[in-house]
Amino acid sequence: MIPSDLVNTLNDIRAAYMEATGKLPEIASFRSLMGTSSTLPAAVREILAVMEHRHLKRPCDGRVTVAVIGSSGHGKTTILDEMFPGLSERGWLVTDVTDTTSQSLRIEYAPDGSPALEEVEVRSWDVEQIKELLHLPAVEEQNRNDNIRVSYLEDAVIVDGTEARFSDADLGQFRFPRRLRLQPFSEPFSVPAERSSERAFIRALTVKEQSSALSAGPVLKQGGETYDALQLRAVVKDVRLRDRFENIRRWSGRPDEEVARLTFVDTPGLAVQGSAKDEVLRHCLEKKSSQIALQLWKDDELDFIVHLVLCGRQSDFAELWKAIECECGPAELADLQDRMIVAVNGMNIYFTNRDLKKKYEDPETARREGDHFATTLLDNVLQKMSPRGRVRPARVCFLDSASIVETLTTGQYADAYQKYRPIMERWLEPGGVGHTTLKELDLLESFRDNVDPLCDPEDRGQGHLVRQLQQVVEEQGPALLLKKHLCKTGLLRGLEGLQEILSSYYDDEGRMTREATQQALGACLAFLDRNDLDGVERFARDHLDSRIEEIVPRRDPPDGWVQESFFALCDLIKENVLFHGEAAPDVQGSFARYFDGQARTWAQDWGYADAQLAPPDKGFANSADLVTHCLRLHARDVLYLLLVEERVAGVEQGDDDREQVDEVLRILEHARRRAAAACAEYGVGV
Amino acid sequence: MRATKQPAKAGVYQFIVLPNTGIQICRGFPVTPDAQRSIDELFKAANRAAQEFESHEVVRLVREHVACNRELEASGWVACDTNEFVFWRMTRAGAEVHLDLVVDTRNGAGAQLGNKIPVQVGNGLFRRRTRLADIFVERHESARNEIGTLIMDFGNSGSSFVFSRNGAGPLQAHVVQPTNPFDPRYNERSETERNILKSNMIVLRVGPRTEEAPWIVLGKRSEELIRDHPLSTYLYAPKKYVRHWPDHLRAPEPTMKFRGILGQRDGLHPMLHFVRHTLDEMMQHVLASLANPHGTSDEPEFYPQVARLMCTYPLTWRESDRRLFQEMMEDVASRLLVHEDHVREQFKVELICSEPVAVAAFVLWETFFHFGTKNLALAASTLGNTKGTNELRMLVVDIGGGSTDIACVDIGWNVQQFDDSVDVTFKLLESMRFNRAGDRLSHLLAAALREHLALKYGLTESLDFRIESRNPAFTRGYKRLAVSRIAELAEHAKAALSSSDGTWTLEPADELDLLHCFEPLLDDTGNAGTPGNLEDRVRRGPRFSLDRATFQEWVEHDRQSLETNGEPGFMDIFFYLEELRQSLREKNRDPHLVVLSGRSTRLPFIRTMAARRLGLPPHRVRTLADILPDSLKLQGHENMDKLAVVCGAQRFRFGDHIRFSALADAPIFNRYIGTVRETPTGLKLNRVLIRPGDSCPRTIDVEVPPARDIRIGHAFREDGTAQVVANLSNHSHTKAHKVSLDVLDDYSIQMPSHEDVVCSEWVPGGNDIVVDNFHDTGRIDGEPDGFLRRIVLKNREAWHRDA
Repeated sequence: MIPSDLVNTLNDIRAAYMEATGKLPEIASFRSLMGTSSTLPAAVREILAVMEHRHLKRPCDGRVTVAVIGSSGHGKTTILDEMFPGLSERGWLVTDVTDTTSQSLRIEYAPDGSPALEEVEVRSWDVEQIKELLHLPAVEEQNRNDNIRVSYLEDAVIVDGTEARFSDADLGQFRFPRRLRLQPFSEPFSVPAERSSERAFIRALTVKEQSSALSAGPVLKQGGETYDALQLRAVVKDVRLRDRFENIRRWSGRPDEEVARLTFVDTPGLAVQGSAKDEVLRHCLEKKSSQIALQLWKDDELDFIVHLVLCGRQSDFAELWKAIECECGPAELADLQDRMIVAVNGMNIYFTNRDLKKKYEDPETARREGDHFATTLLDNVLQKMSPRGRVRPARVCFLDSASIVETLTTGQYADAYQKYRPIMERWLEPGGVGHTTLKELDLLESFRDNVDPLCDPEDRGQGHLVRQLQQVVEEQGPALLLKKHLCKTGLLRGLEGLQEILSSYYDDEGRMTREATQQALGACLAFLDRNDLDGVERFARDHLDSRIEEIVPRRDPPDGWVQESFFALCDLIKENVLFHGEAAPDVQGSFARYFDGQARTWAQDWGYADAQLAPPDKGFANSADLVTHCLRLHARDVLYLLLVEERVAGVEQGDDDREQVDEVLRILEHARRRAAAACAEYGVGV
Repeated sequence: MRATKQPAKAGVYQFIVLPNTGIQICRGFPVTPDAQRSIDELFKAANRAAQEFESHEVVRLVREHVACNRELEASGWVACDTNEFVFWRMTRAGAEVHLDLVVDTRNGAGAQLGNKIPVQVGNGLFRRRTRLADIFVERHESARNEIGTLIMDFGNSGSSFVFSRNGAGPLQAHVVQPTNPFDPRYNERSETERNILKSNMIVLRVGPRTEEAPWIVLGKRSEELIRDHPLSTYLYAPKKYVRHWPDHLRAPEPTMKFRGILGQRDGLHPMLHFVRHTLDEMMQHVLASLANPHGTSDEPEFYPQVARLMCTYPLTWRESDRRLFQEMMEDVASRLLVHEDHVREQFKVELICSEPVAVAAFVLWETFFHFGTKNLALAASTLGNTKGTNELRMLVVDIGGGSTDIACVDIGWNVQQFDDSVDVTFKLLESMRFNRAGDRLSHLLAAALREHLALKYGLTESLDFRIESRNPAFTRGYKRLAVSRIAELAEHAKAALSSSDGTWTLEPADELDLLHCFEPLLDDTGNAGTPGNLEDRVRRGPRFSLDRATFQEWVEHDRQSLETNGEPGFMDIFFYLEELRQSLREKNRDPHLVVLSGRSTRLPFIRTMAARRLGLPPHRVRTLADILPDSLKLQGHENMDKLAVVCGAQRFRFGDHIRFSALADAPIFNRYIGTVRETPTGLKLNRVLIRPGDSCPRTIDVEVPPARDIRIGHAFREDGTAQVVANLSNHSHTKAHKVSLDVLDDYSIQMPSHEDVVCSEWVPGGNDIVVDNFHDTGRIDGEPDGFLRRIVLKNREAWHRDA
């Protein structure tokens, strides 16, 4: 699904960056620059910090995560139970109770017979994430109201409910201490083999038991700390499990190594209500589910999303959407729709719910209230998922659960769907109820393809979902990985930044250029004092401003008039600097060469090269004033940048040194080109 | 008053008002023609009617204060009923007579739905009554309703409002020009004064009953009244009193008497009550002026159904203060706003963004709007980002009247290719607040004026309202007058020093006027001890003449020292900027652009000093006037240093294709935080408890010895100058206590209530809510005594010169 070449490219770029940044300290001239420059160390620090990103700490393995997100009570665990029967057998997917704890299950592939299948790892949040949960405004307010005191220590959070105002009835149910220390695990907890299938252990981690059935003793010990079930409810972030993916492999029909690149993440239900069983942690645990999804997003662990909604119920995804926008900005969600599949669970409801049946059995009701798809899909889901209006997911799939259908109909799944099939097929016919909405949503073909798998008791639409997911991963996966590993990590920006830093001190062959440039700048700008920046203003006002007025054409400007105006400004500045600087002709020549090169860069970086301002006589009456305004400010910026161009003194360079720099430059350029080519190939804008 | 049972005379005109829309005025209301009575007869009858009310005190109040033209030939004022608040007078111009009608729509008859109040005049001998007009109190839903959002910038010195009706674009929303019903000089006020409502308040009339709304005067007129009626209850800068007082700190909450120019209410009342009355009155002003913008409409032009009330807030406010303000506004809204059911369900009061963020949004929106989505790189480069990236770090220095808010905002944007819209995100990188701002500059000027009088006339009597004068004739009334006059002159001086002239001279006429405020202290020879004619003495000199350089020297000397007990002066704002620059530079986060807002930034040296301290060239430090070329500036641009906040907040929410969102702050500390100690070079950190990069919040333990105060402060560097953010005071004389403090961010500290230790949050510049607010106390130069005097005397020869 993800081309191996792409994974190799990403890893090569990462390796090149590491190699280049690793070589820099070995270069004597660069070390000298670092010692004398006032700005270089901070810039280099920022460049080196890129490798601290969690996605760059190890090579890209080409895996993608598929998060299954849905509200509490929408049947998510039931579906996963059928998709991953192996896990179900081991008891990790609890379907008999609804009051479950909030953590995600990460389900990864392991081949048949592999000892890894038995490995279970419990990971906790870090202390910052625990603090963040307790520091949420709503949680703080509720804790304050109940007089629950929270202390934020360096390595832990203390929740102290000893003075809290709880009802006697609640207090009577309390089994855990009222003062709890929430401390992250020092490292992931590997569940010993003998406990990974132990029912009591699994339930302590996954279910909020009734107080009468509860043990308040330690559940596990890690790094010298013991944790009871209540503490674990707060600190555990996820449980990592391995599964044979037997159904996934069967449904997808793809080679094992491809399927192995999928990691499924079962996230806790959205819109969870608080539970008195959470005792002194009741307020923070009420928010933990949505906080988990948010943290997954912030950690860039939600590559693809299957949003599961029970037919007839509303989506609560907007809550998460808003939280992400608030934390990360709307741009983060720009491509979310392309990576999202909406899975409508409980197809049988269309045929068993009286109100829904009425919508397609009575065309008048459908006309008056909207057909069944308009209600269940458009109104309840697509228009509710985002605060910014209707969402257009990459796919919409309909699926069902054998256990539910068979419980409801007290018959076989296949028998039930044999009756439903003709109804579904009628919806697909022109004039059939529902046809209009399916057409409007561009789902006619997709739904047609969905019918067979839905009716197949071995598939139930779940296999169809997996196949659709594979298609989406194929379509969007490469771009996603590029964005994730190259753009969001800052790797590409780091590459370009490093090139830019080096190019301001060295030429393309690694030769130091700074000294000649510095001399030329120093001589030609001798009339300005870099310690008196007011001089920039005075010079611009006295010698440039009045002539800038004349630069910008007010009538019949030629194409590219904005950029031409800028270059005319540069000429004006150059002329004035040379005139006032009174440097020797050869120095003036050096200055002019440097200045012209800079002018081209500035035109690009400052937006003149791509400016699309309507001319003053064609639509934008004030554009000439606006450009004049820009030129005035940029005249000052040009002088300022030339004046403060960094002075570094006494750096010598030998041939070896030049070769070392040249090599670093080549590594960087090669990596940048590969990155640019990959981005171009997969349509990633940089 | 009950609605009249008489049938309306055919053809009688109605002035239609809506309840709860303030004091409604209709000037020049046409009198219904009456065939049986001549104009002269009517006018005489009106005058006769007015004579009856000559000594009626409420009518007298209306006569003296209501916003009606005094130049016109007019009868006296008449109350429609002595127990109600509905008044009229008749005016005559040539052969026509008109009515000026005044209705209080919050109290009495004018507040009762469906009421029809006859305006009638008796007829001499037989008292036949002629109906001149009716006032009808209409239901809100009968008027044309416009549903929209009201955006409010409640400022220390001035407040401004924008009403944005639903569906209106950013440029269609207009700045509300609040009409002042109690301003007889209403037609002399400039456009600027109309756009920005001065926030000062004075109580004009108050009755003993709490359910009766007092008459409050706001705006420029309130300043004039404060000067003339010093014994009435008034507040300069009511915003300063917005402060949450938790139960355990209630004792020091300031209170005041409730006395109007007319009437009073028993006992003492918390200052916050007066802030509420001010906010109430502001809302009334807004509603009144939207319904009847010129005071001449005989029917409401529309009723603004405020579906959302959005307010900005200063960084100075703590979370609890913000909550308090929000609750106060909710309270105002619940009492004054009328909503249809579906609007009521949606209604909310929202604190949308801090004032500096609103300024940043304004700058960015205006720039992006004019450049267009396709030229954002060009737009960004004019704002100082020369790297061509979609980001900008903007440092906003908002020097208001009472506080200076500094915020470094990291701005990013992303263009949606399919519709060319722009998503802009704001993230606060750094912020700081000082209780030193424009009032401090006024305070320096006031101290100098005071010194001028002392040097020239030997007038050394304290103006502190609490201190009894050595000369009993120099009463509090004189002091009030003198302080108001000095404050007014200080404002004139600031304006002159901000203008191109750059100098200000106390004109002899103004000096004489000021001296009159000290009349009892001057013997008939014109001096408190020196013989000679007063006018001659004024002319003879020395004269008070100030230039910018001299003023700048004062500012530069106004800094934290042992003498000020570590409290910063105005100059410390610039020292802070210098430290901030170093801190940002170390993180490779230099600001691209510095935006100065607030009226004080019109003083050119503020910009120069900021540029120097920040190591930036002057063109990277801009006032709001410098952001765009003149031809692209929108209406009201000359006041943008004040209106940018309200307009920015409006753009922030209704930016059309430019959408703003604020990202949560990074949950880490940016400063060193610890206990603080005095050193000869200022305040330093003593014991560091939190370091930059530590995650927040954090709970720290601090030991407080008995009967001691421990100050908590922060600094950019471990050995840098510290600013105090909280004070812990142990009231026990015997027990030491170890207390746990929750440090929420770089300047917010909370402590659970404790039996002996009290934690008060501190703002650099002082926690006293009357910092530099000598208007309310008369305490010029009292923090500490003589500190400002010593500053201005350093270069006395430069401003106190012989004529």
